[in-house]
Amino acid sequence: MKTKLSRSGYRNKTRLFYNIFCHGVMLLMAFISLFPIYIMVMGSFKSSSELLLNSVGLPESFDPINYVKLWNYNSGTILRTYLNSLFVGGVYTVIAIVFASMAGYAFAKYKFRGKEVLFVMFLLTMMVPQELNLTPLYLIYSKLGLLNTYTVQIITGIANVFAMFMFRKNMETIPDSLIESAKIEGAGHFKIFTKIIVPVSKPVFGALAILVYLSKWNEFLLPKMFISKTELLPIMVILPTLSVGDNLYAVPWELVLTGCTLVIIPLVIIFLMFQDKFLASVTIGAVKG
Amino acid sequence: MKKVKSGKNGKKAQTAPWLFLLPFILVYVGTFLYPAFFSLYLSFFKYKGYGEAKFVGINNYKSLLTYRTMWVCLGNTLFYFITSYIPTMLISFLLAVMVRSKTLKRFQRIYKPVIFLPQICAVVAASLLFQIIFGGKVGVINQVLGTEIPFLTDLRYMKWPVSALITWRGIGWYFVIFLAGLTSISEEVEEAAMVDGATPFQKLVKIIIPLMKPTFMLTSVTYAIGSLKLYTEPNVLLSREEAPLQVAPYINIVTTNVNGGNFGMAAAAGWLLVLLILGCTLLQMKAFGGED
Repeated sequence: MKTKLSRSGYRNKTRLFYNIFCHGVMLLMAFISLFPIYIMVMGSFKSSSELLLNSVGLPESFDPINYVKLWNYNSGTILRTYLNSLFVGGVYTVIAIVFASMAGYAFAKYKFRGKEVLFVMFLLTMMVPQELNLTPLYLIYSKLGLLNTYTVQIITGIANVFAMFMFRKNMETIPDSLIESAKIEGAGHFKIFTKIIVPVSKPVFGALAILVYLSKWNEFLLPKMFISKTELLPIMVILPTLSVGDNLYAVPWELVLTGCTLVIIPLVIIFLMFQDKFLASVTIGAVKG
Repeated sequence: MKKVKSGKNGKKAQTAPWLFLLPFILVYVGTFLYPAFFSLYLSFFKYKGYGEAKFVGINNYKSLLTYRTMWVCLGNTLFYFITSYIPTMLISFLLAVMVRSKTLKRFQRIYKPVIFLPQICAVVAASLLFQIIFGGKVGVINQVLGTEIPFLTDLRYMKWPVSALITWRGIGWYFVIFLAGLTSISEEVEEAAMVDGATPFQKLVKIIIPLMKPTFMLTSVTYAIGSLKLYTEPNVLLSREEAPLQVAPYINIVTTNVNGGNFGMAAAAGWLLVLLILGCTLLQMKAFGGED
């Protein structure tokens, strides 16, 4: 009896220790996650001289002067490039998702000659990175006079094999009887797709749209290479080039932090509102299903 | 079996899938497949972007493999891969195991989004943010410590902030993936282990880790491939233009050659990247393959 008691006491102690340890680690991780974001938001309210002395603490005042300065930076460049990012990302995502879902549907629900060969070919090229095509596309676009257009920002990489693959995998699980009954009612191929397949697959559409949009939002190398006109660039290429006057190497840190805040915080808010959808998009391609 | 399909309806059913595929195939061929082959062709030529292209055989590949530059950049990429992969995987896996434990389960809804948050931060903005955190005088770390360590300008330190940045952004992503993988291990398996008197540590080593093997395998392949394509983080974090050679990632070989008008060389560097990715995939498939 006695030994049993002391043993459970020992177990309770380790249990308690384990609990404290778990919470400690989690709080430390939460701190590491949030600290840079805190530095950024607070920094956006500091002047450059204040930042030099105190980049960690709270700002002297929450004066939005940096936001005004950034708004006026280089006669409205920030707003323009911000809108460029939203526009290119939006159009790119819609087209990529529509094309990929249609192709995925064809692979999922039709039998046709050459289907497997074509699909395997797509899968094999999934390993080939977009970076391979930077060189030839630069030459092709410059020959066609397409450098410095929205078109190249939208069409490059728009055939998203990963999304197509995910659509196929998911649409295969839709029961054939659903399609058959619509056929009997006289619905055409395209109508079946828009009225039955798309609504049923809504979660996949959402998850993939988030993934595709975020990857476009993060894009840096591609526009940097194909676009040189400021008014056509996305904001991500502009942010690292912010400078004080004409001195390319004098970095206005308070404005950089303000720009980062403008880029990060809206997305963080959207993420917190639609957490589950974002987290579902992470696992869509990762878990063997 | 095929004969049945060749009736009148069969023919109609044959055109419909192609109509669904057509837009995808068109953009795929136009912006992916054709450029890829053009790139392969280009890689055997010396081409300045104008005038005549001169056939040079495999000389571009030869120069890439014999010049020090490529090896330095590949080495840097390997450094970024190893120094971010190990901490990212260890931390995100342990966090996922901990969050699933009885103690923390109730708080999952708070910890999960907070740990994922860095992943939502745009790469460029996060890189700039880390410039301020690791910076010389304005640097947050230096201000807190009261030091002036040149993290971003001294070659001895420069690569570490990049790894820190990649790890910071990456943990949340893999944390969510591991969490999903752990959830798919059925509760029954875990309970059976408990009944058999396994300690939590034994449970982790003998049951959870082996069952997580498919997830580990999948993440390691995608992570290695992602590392080879690294560009934004080191270049934005370590410079205003392009990172110096000593810390530059592999993709910089492509960009510097395009910017310098050596299109043949740039194309060869692109195809070398494809071969590297292929090699990685095969190697990891062999290493992890085993039973299935």
